[in-house]
Amino acid sequence: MTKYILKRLLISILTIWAVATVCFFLLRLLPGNPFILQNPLDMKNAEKMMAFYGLDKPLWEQYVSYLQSLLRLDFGYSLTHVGRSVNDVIVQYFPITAQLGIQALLLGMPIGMALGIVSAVRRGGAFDYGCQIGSVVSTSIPSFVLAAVMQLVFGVYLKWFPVSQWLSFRHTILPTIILSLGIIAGHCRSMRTLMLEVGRQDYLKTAKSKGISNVRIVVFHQIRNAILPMITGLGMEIASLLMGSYIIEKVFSIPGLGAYFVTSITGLDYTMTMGLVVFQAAIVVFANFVVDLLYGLIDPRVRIV
Amino acid sequence: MKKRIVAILLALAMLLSTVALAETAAYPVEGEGSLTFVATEPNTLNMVQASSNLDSAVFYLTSAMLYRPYNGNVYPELAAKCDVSEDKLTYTYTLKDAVYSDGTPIVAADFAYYMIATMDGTSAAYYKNGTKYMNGECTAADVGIYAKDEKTLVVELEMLTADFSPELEIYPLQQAFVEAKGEQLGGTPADLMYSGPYVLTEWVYGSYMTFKKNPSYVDAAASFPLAELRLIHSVDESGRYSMFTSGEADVLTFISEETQQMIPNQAKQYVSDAMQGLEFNTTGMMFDAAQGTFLPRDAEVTKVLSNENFRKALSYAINRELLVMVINPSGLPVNRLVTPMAEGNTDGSRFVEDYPLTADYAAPITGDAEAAKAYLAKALEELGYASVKDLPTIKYLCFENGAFRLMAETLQSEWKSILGLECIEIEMKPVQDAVMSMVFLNYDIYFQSVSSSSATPRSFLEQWKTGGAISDAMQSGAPFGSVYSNAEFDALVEQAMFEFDTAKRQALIAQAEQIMIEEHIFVPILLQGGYYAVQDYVQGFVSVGNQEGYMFNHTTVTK
Repeated sequence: MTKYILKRLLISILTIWAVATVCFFLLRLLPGNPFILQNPLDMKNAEKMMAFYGLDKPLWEQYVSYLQSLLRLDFGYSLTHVGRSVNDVIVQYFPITAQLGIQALLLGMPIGMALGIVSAVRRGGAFDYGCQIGSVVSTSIPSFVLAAVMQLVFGVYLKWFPVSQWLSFRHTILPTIILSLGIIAGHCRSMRTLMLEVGRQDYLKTAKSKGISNVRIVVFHQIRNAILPMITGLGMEIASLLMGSYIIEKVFSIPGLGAYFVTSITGLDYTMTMGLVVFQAAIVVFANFVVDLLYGLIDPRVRIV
Repeated sequence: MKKRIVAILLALAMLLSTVALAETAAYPVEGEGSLTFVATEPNTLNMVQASSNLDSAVFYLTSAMLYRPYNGNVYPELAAKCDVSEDKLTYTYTLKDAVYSDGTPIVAADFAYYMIATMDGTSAAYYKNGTKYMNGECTAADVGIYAKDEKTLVVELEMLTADFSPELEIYPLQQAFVEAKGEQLGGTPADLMYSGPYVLTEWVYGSYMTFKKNPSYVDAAASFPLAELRLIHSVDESGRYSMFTSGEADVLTFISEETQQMIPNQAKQYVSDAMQGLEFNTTGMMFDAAQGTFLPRDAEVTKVLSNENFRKALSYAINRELLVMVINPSGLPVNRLVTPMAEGNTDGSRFVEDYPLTADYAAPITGDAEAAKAYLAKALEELGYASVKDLPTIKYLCFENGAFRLMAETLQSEWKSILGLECIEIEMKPVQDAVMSMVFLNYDIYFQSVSSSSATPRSFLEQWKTGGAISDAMQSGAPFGSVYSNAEFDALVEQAMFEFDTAKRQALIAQAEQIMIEEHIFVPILLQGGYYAVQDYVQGFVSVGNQEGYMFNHTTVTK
């Protein structure tokens, strides 16, 4: 087990290094200059700023200095949000994005899975059709449309929730619900399909022939086996949710990492983009690592020896 | 008789109280009430590196100023007086007593430091040794901006010009603080010094900023009555609308045309200082950033774009009035470079009234299809083309953005229907890519936005002067900018700079403007407009005519 963990750690570090390197060079291939974008008519200032941030040095020199900073876990200062270090931005705003993602997952995953299970059990019934239609509708409507409608209905007309901002738990309810709708739909459809697939397996027929009750078969055999493939995708899903939903954050003025991600790329903020990409890579690697370990715990057949 | 005396006394008392109220307009130093407004947050609060209106809008709240602009006028704030030397080259400002929010006195050296630290090529040219300092030929100590003592700021000019305004809209900036903060300067509320009407107490990036009234602000008792301001950063239109209608926001500093139609009673219109128009690349060159050299562009296209009649044909075919009505209804169609707001020869008169355009050199606002066709026919003859089908493909560089795309497509369609031109192709690029292409002259036609903010008609035109801010790339040696170079135009703009007689100066400017309009290198189309919204219970809000502007100097809320 220790050998396995060490091996995975080494692969993880190499993965993060590869991501950092590819990101570093890809970003430099983008046309433009962050300081000219801020003030297109002041080339002298742009040159001054490039020198100030060491961006006028040869690329390999910049790369070495970047890797040295990375080893110290120092992502540097933002080029466009002057005065803000990338580390500070992550420390300040990642918890907000993570909270939104985790809340949405905690709300969406159990509901989605429960709906998927009931749909599969009542296959072909009104509930099943209702869930399928609901899933398609909620994944088809863009989240910004849903958000706007819910803001109007629950914020403006009914006044149940605040329209925007992230100041108290009440402020988190609407964005969490909207973000979780996609999760509910996805999990509902996946769980339904997996349940039906597992339902056709021979061991369930054996269980039935032994006279075990339907409830027991569903709970202890069908669900347990159907849930395993879902865990595989959980790592990526958690990682993606932890890095935020730019649209939801934008619509609700939530101070999360999503906005930084998008604006840093459009504004050619190299340090911010690289810092966030490496941070996200670390989360993805870590989440998958944990999921792999969990998988072994849940399914004894794939337990690591 | 007694009743009459009492009535007269009462009337006098009422009159006196009205006068007294009007004179003091006293507000509680601690402030009263709060206001939530939606705007775009600043990029940075580092005064040295700040460059956008978004940043300046916040400095306006957090910092005192030597002179403060408000609602189209400028008032002395920390300047107690300004003495001008006989040769009008030296301005000596005496400062009022004022302190930062931590009690540290504001001294003249803080203003001098700010001016030198934020100097750019254009502003440096005004001050003694300013340009030399920018070119690294002398030190900051040699620049004609210095503190004589704690209360006296001296500004020496390099030369006497008609453009220099002694009402300097500058902030105090303490050098020691800047150096101590280093890269952190302006990053968080703790990394700023406050001398203005408000102190920034919270800044949650991407969400909101909270400002609390600064009781130590020099004019706290007579202005900025609100105790708290809250800026909500929201870039989502539906979110802004919902916030306003639910009462979560009191002011929206900018809204779309659609939102304006939904709240017509609260929505108000502004016309901004951003002039937009077409710019033609007639240089035949583009800058290759990788090699650091200029490369030739398509010679055939350059030949066509360099033809004045061809450019005129494109300009005359545009119905600016219709175009603006469709694409930016809050905007103002224009066919000249001096804006309708520019002052004329006398107080209250307007430049555009004193120097009206004549139809023989300017395209009419509603366009002139027949004239456009005639110019095109002349152009084809001069260029040696038998028909418009022989023209080479001309690329119109455009942002990948709804309004810009619509503008490009509408113009393309107008040119096709009126002139039969099928050679204009729209080349859409992401904003940063398009800006870089413009900077490196990698375009044939570009929809340019030029800010006329705080510019006089002369200094606005100066931007096109050879070697000016957006001037001829080859001559200035910088790989960016416009494509215009005309010796006569340069001479007139230069002459106007040293002409102190208003009427004579304006006449020179009008001549320079005429030259540029006639050549149609930059074809003005509109002054961008927009809308903002204010709740009925908010009084005295002033929008400064751009998407980010807000002034709360005398704003009150009576909820």
